[in-house]
Amino acid sequence: MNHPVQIIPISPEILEIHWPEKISEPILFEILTTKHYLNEKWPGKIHRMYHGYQVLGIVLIEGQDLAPCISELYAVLRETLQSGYNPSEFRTWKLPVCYDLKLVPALKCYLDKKSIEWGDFVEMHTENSYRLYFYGFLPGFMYLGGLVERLHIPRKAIPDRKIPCGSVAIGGSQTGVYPMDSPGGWYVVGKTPIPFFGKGELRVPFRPGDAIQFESISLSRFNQLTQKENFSWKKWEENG
Amino acid sequence: MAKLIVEKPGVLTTIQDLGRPVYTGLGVPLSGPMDKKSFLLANHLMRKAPADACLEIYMGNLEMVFDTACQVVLTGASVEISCGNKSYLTNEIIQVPKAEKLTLSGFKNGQWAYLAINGSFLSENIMGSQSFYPGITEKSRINSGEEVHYQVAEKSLPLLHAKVKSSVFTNFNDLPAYKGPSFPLLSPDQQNRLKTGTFTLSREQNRMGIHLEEKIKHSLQEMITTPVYPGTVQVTSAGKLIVLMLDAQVTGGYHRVLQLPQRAIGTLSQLRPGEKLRFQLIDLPE
Repeated sequence: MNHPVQIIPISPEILEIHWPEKISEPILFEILTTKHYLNEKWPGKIHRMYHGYQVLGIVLIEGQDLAPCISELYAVLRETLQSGYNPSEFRTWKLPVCYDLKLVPALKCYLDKKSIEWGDFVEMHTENSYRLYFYGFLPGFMYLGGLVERLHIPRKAIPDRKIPCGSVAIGGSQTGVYPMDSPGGWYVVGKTPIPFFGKGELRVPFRPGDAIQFESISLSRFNQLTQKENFSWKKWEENG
Repeated sequence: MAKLIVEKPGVLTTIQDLGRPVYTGLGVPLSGPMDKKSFLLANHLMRKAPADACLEIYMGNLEMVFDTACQVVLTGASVEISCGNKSYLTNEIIQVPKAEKLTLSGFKNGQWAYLAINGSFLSENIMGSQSFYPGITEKSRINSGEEVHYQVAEKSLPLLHAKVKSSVFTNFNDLPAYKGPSFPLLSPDQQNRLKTGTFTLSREQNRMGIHLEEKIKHSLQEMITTPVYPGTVQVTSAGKLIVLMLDAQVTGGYHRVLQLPQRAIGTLSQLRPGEKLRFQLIDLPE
């Protein structure tokens, strides 16, 4: 690890570790390594953790003294920074997405605005995998990096009242999946049959650092997968 | 199983415990009580564990009928409580007879009250918490005519003991606040407005956040998404100030200009739209 980091106290309960302010995969991997390391090597102090692109937020258990925590954290960080990360821990997942205009009529609006043919769009959107940086905005909403520039589109000035659960959408330079019904300003371009939440847990196995590759499926395959009570990631990985 | 039927649910009644700290990494909001101090007092008066679930009630006007005798206590906002021709105060143990109705008036001051029971409220526990949150729990509020199940403790609490004084919420407050990471990027004039200005709570408020009326116009550059916490004060690109509360999202793209400590979040939650506040900036130890 080689990025300079800084510890910034936010309140008597919150400390943040700041990396240089940019979106980059090496920084993501350093944050994940640090988070993992803190969970193991600095127990009994942390109530909860948050992270964005280049900030790891640590909320301390109540009643801790801030100053000693900062110096302890610097010491732990020095050790962490010596250890490397192992990129092979991160997996690539295929996420089935249906782009059929019969299912997703809203896609036409995006295609018209961008003057892209349907087939070209599907090819571009599914060609590369997207890095999962973190979850935010909504429970299970993935911040994905790596959308090709040709597909960028400014967010809608007036957000839609309801973007349905499972919608795959594009806003600005980002693409993502709405894990639940929500208002939102992104353009809907597809739909996944995979439920993100249920039975009290996040149902997708994706973790920050993993890569997500959208796989185009037909409307009939979409309907078939939607009817499945328990989607098995293992079977999907093996057979598609 | 004992149950109470909520005949009049008020504006927003939910079940809250101390929330879902383990799942912030999955984008799940913390949730939990808006006024933690009053919540903890309710559990304390019922001699329960601090994290046990209570009913959280916004602005009052509630009627509920308990089918099994039990003991309850209300804390937080000031409210007239009546049960079987008797009236009660907050922080006082109320003996609810079988099949009796408990009525809460509209709140006199403050906005949030907590009802704890000698026993426990039974509701689905999702991701380690009973706190309602749309999309996580099946319910996001208790509607008219709905039931809440509960279990009565084996032992009754003695009714005679020194009473804790009811809370009084003033309509003007100096709230302690720390400088947020973007505070130094503001101009001296903008910083000064945050330090000395008086701010008014707007009508736009819910469990996610509270918007303030007065704006801080600025020309800060857009920033990349960072973590945000309950108590984070954001300034939008249009200059609007938003104080994030317990159901707030875990990350945000607006500049973070202040951070309220835990105790100030509860104080703020009890202020009503139209009421005023000032931020009292304090420094953290170096």
